[in-house]
Order: sequence, then structure tokens, then C-alpha cells
Amino acid sequence: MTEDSIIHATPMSEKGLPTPVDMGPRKVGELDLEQSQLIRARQQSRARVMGLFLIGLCVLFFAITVVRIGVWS
Amino acid sequence: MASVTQDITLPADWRDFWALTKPRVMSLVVFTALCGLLAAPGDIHPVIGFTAILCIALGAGASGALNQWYEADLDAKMKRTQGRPLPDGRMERPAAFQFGIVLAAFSVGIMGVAVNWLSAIILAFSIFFYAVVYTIWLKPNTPQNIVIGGAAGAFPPVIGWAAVTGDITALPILMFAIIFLWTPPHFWALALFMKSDYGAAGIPMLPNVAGQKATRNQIFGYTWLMAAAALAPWALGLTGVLYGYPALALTMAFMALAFAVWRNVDIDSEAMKPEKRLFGFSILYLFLLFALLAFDRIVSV
Repeated sequence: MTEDSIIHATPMSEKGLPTPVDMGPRKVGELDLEQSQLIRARQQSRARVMGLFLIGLCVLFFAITVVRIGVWS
Repeated sequence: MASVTQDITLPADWRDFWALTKPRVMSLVVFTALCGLLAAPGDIHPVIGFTAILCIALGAGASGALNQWYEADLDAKMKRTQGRPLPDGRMERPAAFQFGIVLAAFSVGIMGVAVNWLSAIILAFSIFFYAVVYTIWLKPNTPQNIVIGGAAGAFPPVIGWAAVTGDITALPILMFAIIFLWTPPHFWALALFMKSDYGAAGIPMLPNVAGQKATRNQIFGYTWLMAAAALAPWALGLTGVLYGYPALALTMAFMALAFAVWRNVDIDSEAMKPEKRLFGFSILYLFLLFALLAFDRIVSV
């Protein structure tokens, strides 16, 4: 399998519908596979931190709401 | 985006965004704010208290990010700052600006809604003061930049206090005054042994503009004013001896170090040991002073 085929080959079923694709290493733009993996790793680490931050905010807002409406007072 | 790793441009790492917030400065801000909050009379629900401190930390982070966004070119010229994300090319400038604005809006908004609007207004003003009045206006234009700009760093204990009480009385004003008057000796000690760095960036710090002797005189002068402010809470009966005696000892040690700086005539930054000692001790001094003040108030009020 060439690098090009990793990006462009979209497996189709016998009925001509797209089938689930392996979402493993894929190229980003004109970058080679190794460079693409570096970028994806960086994006994933940022997304993970952002996710944790948002979860923290949700918990905080919930706690603030509970305190403000005086559920425990 | 901007860092080049193996010939490619990577998106900025989350650690670069973290570095934009100046975590070490933030730790002092959070600590003094916490002391203001603990020293205030009255109760605050732990969740609301935590939210107030978090908002102050986020606000300080926003100020740091906006400061680094504006000063990226200057930072690139100074050894002390050229490793920061923007001058090092690990992040694009608009990303730093957007990050700072979002953090600022978030911190002020949450503070207003969850805690009270007086704290939110002071927080907003402190961010504006640091990012605009100090960074854009004072710092590049006057050698008195850190004297007036010191006000930005003096707001956190006032915000912490206001978060609990919803008002401002004599003690938070004195806490403000302590940090405000502590800033010149602290920063000018640094500016003395970092003179060439500031000079390379064209920042008119006092040693570069008025000379070392004038700077040493001003350090010593401001130390006296700071000492008066540091002992005023005890003298006015707002704190007890738990704060008073240790504060007196710490302040005398600070004055002894400032005196050594005043007497020093070295012009070589490598030989400026008194200045380095004063700079190092000044950070410890502020931590201990505020910890004592909060402890005294918790025990006695």
C-alpha cells in the first residue's frame, strides 16, 4: 500500500456505499505520515487538556448553582 | 503555530498556553488573594471562595498572556524572556491575544455572576491596568513604570477581601499598599543586575535611565515606606502580635538587605550579590508577611 492510497482509497461495499474506514495514521495536507502523526499527537494532547478543562467548568458551574440556589442551606 | 520540529510547523502545545499565563507570577497573585480572602471578616461558602480564587488566577493568567502578546518583540531581545512561547516561535501572536481576551472575559464574567460584581469590577480593572496602562503605556515610556504599574499586582488581596465582604475597608487598602510599595525595591533590585538585558530591549528601567546610585537611593527610600505599610495593620490594631512581631523581624531583615544594596557600589552585575539577595528575599518576605496576616486574622477575628 502506498502513502497515496492511505489517503485516497475509500473502501466501498458491493452496493457502492462507503464502508467503515480504518482511522489509523493518515496524512495531513502535503505532510508525510510521520509529520502528520506529530501534528495529530499535538492536537490530541490539546484536545485532551481542553476536555478536562471543560469538564472541570461543568462541575464548577453545577456546584455554584447548587450553592446559589441554597439546596444545602 | 510556529514551532519547527523535524521541518514541520506544529500547533502550539497546551504547555505553551500555560506558559503564557506566567504561572510563577500567578502563584504569588493567588496566594495574596487567598490571604485577603482569609483575612476578611465573615463567611464565604468554600465553593464560592474557590471560584473567587480561580477567577483571580484566570484574570492574572489573562494579564500575563496579553502582556506577552504585546511584548513579544521586546521579549525576543532579552535573555530572561527569549525562551517564552512567542519569541521562541512556538506560537502565533493572534493565538496569544485571543487566549488572553477569552480568559479575561471568562474570569470577570464568572466572578460577577458567582461571587459579586464589586470583585468582578476590581478584577476587570486590574487586568486592564496591567495589560494596557502598565504594558502598553507606562513600561515603554517612563522609568517609574513599575511604581505605578505595581498597582496591578496589588489588587488581588483587595479582590479576595471584596469577594467575602462585598466592600473595601482599611485592612485591604493596607494590603494593597504593602504590595504597591514592595514592588519598587523588588523590581529595581532585579533591574540592577539585569540592567544590560533591559537596556538591550530599550525598556527605560530606572537603572538605565537614572543610573545605579539613584536606583539604590530609591530602593532604600521605598523600603522605608513599605516598612511603614507592613507594620501599619499591627499599629492600627487591625491585627495582633501573631502578625506584629514576626512582621517586625521580617521587615527589619528586608531593611538590612536594602541597606546593603544602598551601600553597594558594584557596577558589574555578576558582583551584585546584595541585589540578588534582596530580590530573592523580597519574594519570601511577601509570602511570609501575607501568610502571617491571614493566620493572625483567622485566629483573632
